[in-house]
Amino acid sequence: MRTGLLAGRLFRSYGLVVMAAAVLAGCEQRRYVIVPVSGRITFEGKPTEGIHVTFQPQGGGPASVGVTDKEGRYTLRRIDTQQPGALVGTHRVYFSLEAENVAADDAGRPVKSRLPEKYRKGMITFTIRPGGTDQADFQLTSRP
Amino acid sequence: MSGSVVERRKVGQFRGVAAGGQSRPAGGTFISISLAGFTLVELLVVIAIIGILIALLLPAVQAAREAARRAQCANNLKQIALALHNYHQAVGTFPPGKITEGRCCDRPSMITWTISILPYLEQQALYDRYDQTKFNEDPANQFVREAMVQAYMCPVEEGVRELDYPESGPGASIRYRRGSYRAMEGMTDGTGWWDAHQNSGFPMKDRGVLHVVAERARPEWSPSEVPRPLTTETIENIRDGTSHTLMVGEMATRTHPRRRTFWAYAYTSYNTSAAVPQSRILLGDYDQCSAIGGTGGNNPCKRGWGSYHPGIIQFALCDGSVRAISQHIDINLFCALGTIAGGEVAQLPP
Repeated sequence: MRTGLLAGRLFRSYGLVVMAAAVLAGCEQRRYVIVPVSGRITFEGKPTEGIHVTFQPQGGGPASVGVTDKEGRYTLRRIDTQQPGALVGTHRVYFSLEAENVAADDAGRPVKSRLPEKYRKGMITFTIRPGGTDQADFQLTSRP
Repeated sequence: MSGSVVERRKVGQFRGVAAGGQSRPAGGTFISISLAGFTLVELLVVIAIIGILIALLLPAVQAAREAARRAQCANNLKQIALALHNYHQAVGTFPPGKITEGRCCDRPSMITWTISILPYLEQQALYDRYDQTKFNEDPANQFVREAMVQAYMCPVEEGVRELDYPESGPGASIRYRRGSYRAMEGMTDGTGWWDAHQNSGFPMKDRGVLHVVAERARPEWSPSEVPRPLTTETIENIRDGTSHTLMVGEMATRTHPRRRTFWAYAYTSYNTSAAVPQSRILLGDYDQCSAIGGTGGNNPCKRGWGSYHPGIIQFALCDGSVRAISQHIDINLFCALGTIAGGEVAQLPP
């Protein structure tokens, strides 16, 4: 009988533990679904090193960034946590060339960019599917 | 079963101490167990439960403290917004974001929005100490440069009450008091700015409400040195709507402290920031922003936004309301909110 009483108390405390876990889980912040994304970018048909690319989820959410290597390959990382990958969904994609990303002084100077405006102002979109992709490829040209 | 034998023996010992060794019939033992106290297991269970309850309570207490501090920072923004509107009421326009002599860079500055609205923040005495006939960086204005104004400090920010040397400009070798809030100067693509007279290429519709204002084009200057004639803004100029336009917001960077906000420093990017279509400007981390790179190099990072509140940055809008904006807001929407006459259909998510 005594053992039964003790078991009852213990059971209640386990109940509390479960409740606490449920409450804590409920308090947890919204998680984003991040999937691996990589690809290859060419400029004028050639793989180009130092093309900075930003994927901005349409309607908000953490952006992801990447830079191309010598073969033009890049892998996205979340901009804030550095976690590899990008958010599932449709993104606006922004490109810039490392050689042009300079600040002469605090005011800067207008740059005549080799990249047309559509690449710099997020007019290209790309949809990332739940499985992620290693073929987020872009062929950039200097044609506007 | 052996457990209960041990219990009985223990109880017997206990009774021996408590009741002076009086012997009682064995039948009474069971009743005295419940009076005697708790077993080790029961105590452990109780301690565990208390531990869990405290563990539940602590994050809630921390969250409440953070919410209170956030409310204090939001209240500062409200006071600043009211002061700007009172200034508008009295003068007829909003104050100049800053007045800089001639073209950037390293040119000295005159007054700036934070100093202009001091009388409307009940800081008339401090305002009177600012000599408007002298430059911002002049020794005569040291008292104002180093003054602590509570309304310009968000208490969550580490080291916001300290003096430091800004990283660039004519004030780089003198100390300024840090601050937490910057005005919205307008939108650019990252290659030029509305806080310096280098902005001639940008369409006027993209300007913000508190941008640089030109003054004192000296007769000896060549035409290329004469600044673009920008003037102060009025409420009528905010054609996008006052509730769809950002006025003042939080800016703190966790890295590179000399690029933080210095409330009284008029030069370029120390008390105004910009809207740039680059997500990295909302990280609140200058070094990380620079490392990511983008059009304009580290110049957009100098004009970024950020706070010590997890995930959000607070802004006062031109209608005087204060809103928390997600760090992950759609960057094109953020840019649309930064302009006063961009003509975009831009509305903050509820």
